Amino acid sequence: MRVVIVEDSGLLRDALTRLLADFEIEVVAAAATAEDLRRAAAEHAPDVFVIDVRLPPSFTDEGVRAAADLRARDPEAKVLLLSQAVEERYARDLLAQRSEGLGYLLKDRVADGAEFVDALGRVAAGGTALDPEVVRQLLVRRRAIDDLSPRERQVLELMAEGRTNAAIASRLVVTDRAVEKHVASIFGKLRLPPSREDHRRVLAVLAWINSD
Amino acid sequence: MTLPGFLTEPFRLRTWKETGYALIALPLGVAWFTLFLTLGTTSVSTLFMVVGLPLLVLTLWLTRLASHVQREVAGKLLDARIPGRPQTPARTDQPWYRRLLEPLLDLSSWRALVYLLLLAFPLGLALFIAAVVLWSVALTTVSAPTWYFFIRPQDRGDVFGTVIDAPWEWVVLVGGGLLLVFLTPWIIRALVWFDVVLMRALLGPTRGELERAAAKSAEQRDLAVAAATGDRRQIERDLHDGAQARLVSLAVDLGRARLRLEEGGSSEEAAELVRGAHEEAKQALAEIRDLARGIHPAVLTDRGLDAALSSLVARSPVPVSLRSELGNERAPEQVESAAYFVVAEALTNVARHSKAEHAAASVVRDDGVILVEVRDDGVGGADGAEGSGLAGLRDRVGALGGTLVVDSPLGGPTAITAVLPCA
Repeated sequence: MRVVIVEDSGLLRDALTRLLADFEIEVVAAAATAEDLRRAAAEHAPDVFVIDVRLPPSFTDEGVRAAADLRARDPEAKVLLLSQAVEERYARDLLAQRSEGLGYLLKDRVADGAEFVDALGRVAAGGTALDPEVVRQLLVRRRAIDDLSPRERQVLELMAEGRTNAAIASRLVVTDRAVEKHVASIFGKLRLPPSREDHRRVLAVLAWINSD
Repeated sequence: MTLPGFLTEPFRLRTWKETGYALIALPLGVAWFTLFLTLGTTSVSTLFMVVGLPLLVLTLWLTRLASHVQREVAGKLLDARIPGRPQTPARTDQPWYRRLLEPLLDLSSWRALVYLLLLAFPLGLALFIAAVVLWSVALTTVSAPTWYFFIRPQDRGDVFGTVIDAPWEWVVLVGGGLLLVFLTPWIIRALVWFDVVLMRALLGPTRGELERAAAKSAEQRDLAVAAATGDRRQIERDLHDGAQARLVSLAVDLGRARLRLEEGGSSEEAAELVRGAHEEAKQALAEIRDLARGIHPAVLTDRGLDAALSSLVARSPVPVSLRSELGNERAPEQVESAAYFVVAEALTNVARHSKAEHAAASVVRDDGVILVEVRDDGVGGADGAEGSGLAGLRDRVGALGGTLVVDSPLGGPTAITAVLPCA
């Protein structure tokens, strides 16, 4: 896997590079600004970009805008955004564009190397990796989830993070079949079209979350 | 070459704006006189019936509108800035009928009525007559040499009461006219000045009102300073008790692990220590993140209050239902920020002390205010005692001219309500 990192803090840039190297992931370029990102994108065509949300010059949401820009120009671009604090509004902007090949995680998650690399792999493969925290925010204004049981809600949140049924089963320490049952029940309650494929189910859940 | 001011006065814009005012003052005065005479007498004579009182209230409300018009005209034409009543925040804590009756008890509406009903008309009349008569006489006499001889000789006596033919008569006529041309601006200015003095006295704020407004703004400044100091103290405490303590413990654990490894001791023990240190580092990250958010969430500046509320509500361990109706227009930054921190502090209290099972937060913008309300079904007993988070909030809200009410009887439930003016 070939990665381009865009992060203005040299300390974090190096830490990320070291971490990815441990997992035998190649960092082909490490940039500090959105400007450098465009250059690196053209030059290296990496499998996935890791972009910090706050970048110079204004340190607000440059990273989000750079990612949206990148994804608009190249539908194949896969982007994992890292942020000091995740925000539902930014997630909505990004999801409205496309939920495939998209990740949006708290920076803290980097501290759990294996978990982070797993999320990065999911994004590189065209999947989704949303931070649990942003998923909770996205669900705040959806009244329909009051109809779900606590377990179903847990399953829904894990799906929205972009996880497969097998991953959800191992996370909740239940059987695949039990997860299947919960998923069927959630899709029934939310009136979503059933689907057998993990990826499509995630897309359906994200589309539901992002619809108003 | 600079001419003495006296000579240039008739040619200055100011003079003609004042003359313009003198001409407008009469129709305005007539309008106010008829309007308020009719409304005033009708309402007073029907006061013993039901209609009189509402009519009187309406009349007094209208004096505010009329004063505003009068002040605007004076401001535009006379460059006389007459301040209106000091803005007081909408008293949403009072019942509607109390607010509606407010002009009845407000001295300034009665003072305005005195000007509008009794003074505006005579003043307008005086100004109008002075301007018309003085300018006509002045201009007629000054220009006499250009038209006097076109008049038939037998009619010439009617114009100025006597036939002008001797040179000294011409000198007196034209000289007097010229004098009048240069005097008229000053006469009109004196009359206008008198009007402005009366307007300031009767349509502007009273000394008491000004003093109260000044005292209020001084009080608001003190509250803002107190709130900022309180916030800084809180940040210092949080850093000290939270992240700093965790980093110390993390460094100790890593140091112990290093010793084990260097001394060739049990690597299992070292691994255990490192695992603990890793957990502590992650906790410290989370605490610093929360702290940064507590100081100022970036999304509040970026995307506004509505967007910032999502993460507040999502982080609450007690389920919270959120209602946010803020419209598309952003409120001023300090108002958004105060509203955000009211919700944040209230939800922190809910989580820490209330033992509530559910809470509801509502942030609604309506009629020049943002109304923030957080309710829970917990045990109550929250107080805004000195030094508490709620007291800090009250300072912060007070600094913006708003009010914060904590209703939390022992046994619950708790409701925290803040009204923040945002015109």
